[in-house]
Amino acid sequence: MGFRVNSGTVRPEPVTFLHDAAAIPGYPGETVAAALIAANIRGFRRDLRGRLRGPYCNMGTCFECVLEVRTDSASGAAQDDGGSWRTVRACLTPIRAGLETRSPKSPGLEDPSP
Amino acid sequence: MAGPYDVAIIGAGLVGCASAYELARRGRRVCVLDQGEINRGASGRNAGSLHFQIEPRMLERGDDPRRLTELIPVNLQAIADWQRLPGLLRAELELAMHGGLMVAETQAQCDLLARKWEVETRGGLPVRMLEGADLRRMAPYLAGHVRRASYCPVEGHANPRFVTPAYAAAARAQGAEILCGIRVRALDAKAAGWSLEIEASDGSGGPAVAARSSIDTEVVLVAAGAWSREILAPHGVDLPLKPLGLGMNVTERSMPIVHHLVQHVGRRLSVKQVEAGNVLIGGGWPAALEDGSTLGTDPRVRLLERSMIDNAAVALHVIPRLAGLQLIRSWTGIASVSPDHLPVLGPVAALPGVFVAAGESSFTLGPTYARLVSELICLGHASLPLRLYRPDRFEPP
Amino acid sequence: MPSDTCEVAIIGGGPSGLAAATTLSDYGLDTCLIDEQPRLGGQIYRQPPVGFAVQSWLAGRVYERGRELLERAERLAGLRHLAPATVWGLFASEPGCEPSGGHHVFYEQAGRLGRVSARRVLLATGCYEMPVPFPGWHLPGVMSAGGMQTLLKSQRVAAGGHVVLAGSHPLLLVAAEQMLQAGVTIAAVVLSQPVTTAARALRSPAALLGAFGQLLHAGHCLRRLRRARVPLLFGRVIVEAVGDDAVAAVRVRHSDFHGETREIACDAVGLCYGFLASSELARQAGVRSAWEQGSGWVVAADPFMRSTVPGVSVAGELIGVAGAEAATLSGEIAALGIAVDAGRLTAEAASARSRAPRRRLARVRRFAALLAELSGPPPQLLSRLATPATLVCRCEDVTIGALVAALRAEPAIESASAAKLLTRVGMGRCQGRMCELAVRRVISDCRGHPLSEVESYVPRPPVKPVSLAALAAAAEVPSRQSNVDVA
Repeated sequence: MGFRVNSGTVRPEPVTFLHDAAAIPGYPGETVAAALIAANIRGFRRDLRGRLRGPYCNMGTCFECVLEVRTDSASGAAQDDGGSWRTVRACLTPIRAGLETRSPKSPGLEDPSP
Repeated sequence: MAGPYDVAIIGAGLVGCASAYELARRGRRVCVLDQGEINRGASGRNAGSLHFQIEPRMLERGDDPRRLTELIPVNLQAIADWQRLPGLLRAELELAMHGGLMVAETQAQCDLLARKWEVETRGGLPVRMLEGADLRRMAPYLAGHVRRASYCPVEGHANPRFVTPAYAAAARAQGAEILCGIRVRALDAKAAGWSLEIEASDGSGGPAVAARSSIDTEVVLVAAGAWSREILAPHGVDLPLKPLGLGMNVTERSMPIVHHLVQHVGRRLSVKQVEAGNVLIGGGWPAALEDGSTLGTDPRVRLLERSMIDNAAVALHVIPRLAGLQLIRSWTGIASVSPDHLPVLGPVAALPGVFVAAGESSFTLGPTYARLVSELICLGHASLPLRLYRPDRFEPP
Repeated sequence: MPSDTCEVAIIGGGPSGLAAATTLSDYGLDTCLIDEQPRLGGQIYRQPPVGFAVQSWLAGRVYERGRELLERAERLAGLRHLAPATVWGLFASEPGCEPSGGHHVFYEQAGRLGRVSARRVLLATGCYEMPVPFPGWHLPGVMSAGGMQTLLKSQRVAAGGHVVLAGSHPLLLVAAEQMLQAGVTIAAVVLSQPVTTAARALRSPAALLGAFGQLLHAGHCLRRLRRARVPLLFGRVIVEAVGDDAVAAVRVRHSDFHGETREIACDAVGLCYGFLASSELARQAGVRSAWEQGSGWVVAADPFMRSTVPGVSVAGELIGVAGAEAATLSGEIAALGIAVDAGRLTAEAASARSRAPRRRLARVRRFAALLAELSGPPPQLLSRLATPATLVCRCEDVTIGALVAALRAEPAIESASAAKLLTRVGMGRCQGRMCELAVRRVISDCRGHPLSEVESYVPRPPVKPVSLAALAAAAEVPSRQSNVDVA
């Protein structure tokens, strides 16, 4: 499983963020992808056939790591559950205290829950 | 390649391949010639909308509404033609005819919608007006400021990438020949018919150089979309068709949001969600067609960022729930437009034995255009009046 | 919509973009640099987040020049750094509009659209790992080795505890050694080339002369891996990754597919068979490009890195994958060309100043070509790794078998774009980056055409996905406009 490497590393004060409503530990500036991998969450979304997919390139090219972040402002509104969510690449999205992310719904599945 | 043929069709798009099928089915010896691959022009690049409601632009021109009612029979025939098509061609067309809504927001737009509805109802087109709770129930995804919509239960879409190939296969099965990579250089009048001078086109990806340099045929049908004009221009025929570059946008796949074809009576908008979940957003937004005296085999059309932005704005204004989606792909196509937004269908008076079938709405009405022009060629008359579509209708009498 | 104007817009914050930015500042050119990452450095010099301190980051002599370049770039007072921002389109400005003869760079940043207008644009968009499909490559835990490396170098996260690295590029050795140091167990390093070829590369004059720092570095890493008893398998390939929700093991076989299959347990796999130039934006802008084995779609450039599109220059991996030093040199040369075009430097002075970097660049590119020869897998091998059930398009879930069936059914399909229309390959969010090469390879094999002649997907904007909400918000016409809009 993935883990944080501590030797020779100084990090700022830790924070937690929510992913699919579960609290995930991390550090401000870490990418969502890194924090999830360190928390042993390696699949961030399901593909058209329902299989789990995780980050591949870690540089914003492959789009395997897409998930949704809750936005503060009205832009990017996808109003279904009263929240506004925006699709991002987890490998390019830094975490911060209060961040909420969720797995995107996969259009190919009959049961759309992640 | 063996000849002579009864009909040589120039253009292997939807109208060309569908005409080939209709003619071959009636026992004619047909060949179709295209400078590129089949379905490469607007036929393969349009949004696949099936819009049977009358285009608002036609009403705005101040045309006599009674004249517009004359257009309805073609639309009614098209509805029937599309409903039959998957079975007829025995092919998957991704056809969805779940209904279309043309929306209005302002009073002026509602008035326009009402005038359109009158024309359509008089002609027997199945359209009804929705507003208030009925509209919300039918289309909960529409923004609150959409006041009214005209609903046609059989509008929808099909996949333009599948339709022409299906017609081509069916045409071949009936004995038609479809020859790609062949450009028609000229039409020479013969004693009984025409001789088409042909050459291999560049970079077509089709078969190699033709075995012969000309094809003999009794009748010529020009079904070459935006290229039709330059094919006939050297023969002194100036078709009232202009090429127009258009842009189309597609989002990532999404959960079902939009259940109908959505158009707007007063803005450029066309939105539909295909089976795979992608949302197609268009509506006649311009793309930049590079200048040139001829279109060539591969005309360059550039997407305009202004069109992409404004198209997205109108789409979100009408369907706010699209806001969470990302645009992942855009493309361009070349439509051919005429001053009255009607196609050119019928015989070319100056060139006996030459017919043309090209112009607007050639996806929605393409199968019907093909059927009508084939009737005209085989029987001397079509089952619906075609006087409004005469190729020479803009010439002084 | 935020709208900036500058004299030069640089897209990409890796070595070529940084070198160009520092050179341009010598000539007082108002420059804007746009990059997708939050900090400068690109991938090879990818920095830890602000607030982190990483002792070993880019340590060692081999990275000394890179560190200096980065420091110099970060100190440039006049450089406007727009980041993290994703560029999705490059549009020429309309005739008669400002900037005359120039370009508009459209980007999205934090859900908002933005535009940079510049007379001159330098595309320094780098490269990405060449994707090679094989059974199970879509499993979570299977990653590019470069991605695994940046995860460790910059995020200080190890992708797994028991890692297999596989492919053909010396980067694998460097990455393995770094992971070893970080406490990761390297279950195996699997190199497709026979040990003799690898040894030849490492003992080549290039390595001995230290002229190609990375090779030498890889040699050091190899020795350390050997000392640590890391299993090194030469002449082998991963033929399958297995697991349910994530990779649990890989199956390894001899590169000629003879002999037994060996299973190695692991929880993460890093792959590197080479790189592809990220030239999508350049090609969308209309530059001339050509397919080069070992680099992908390479952009044609004149001696001062100008592309065939006026006002658009290119640098770094876009002119041929050759590593960080080459990128730095070509970035500098490109900047000199831009300075001449902007009238800040005479052609003679530019020639003089570019002489040394040009000579060095030529030498580095020769060694890069040698390296590509020794570290690029034979194309037949890559074709053999995929089976009919293997995913070729990861986004749209299209298998090799489905693609081949479509090719057999439709003889007219000869290009990736034609295959796309029929099978949906290339229609996903990655816009074909992960599948285009494999799709073209299949077409090449099926049709018997050389790979270089199989056309790509048509590059059009948006070259990265852009949010509809961001687009709509940038509309100048208020969306509540109520006039009847005639087409």
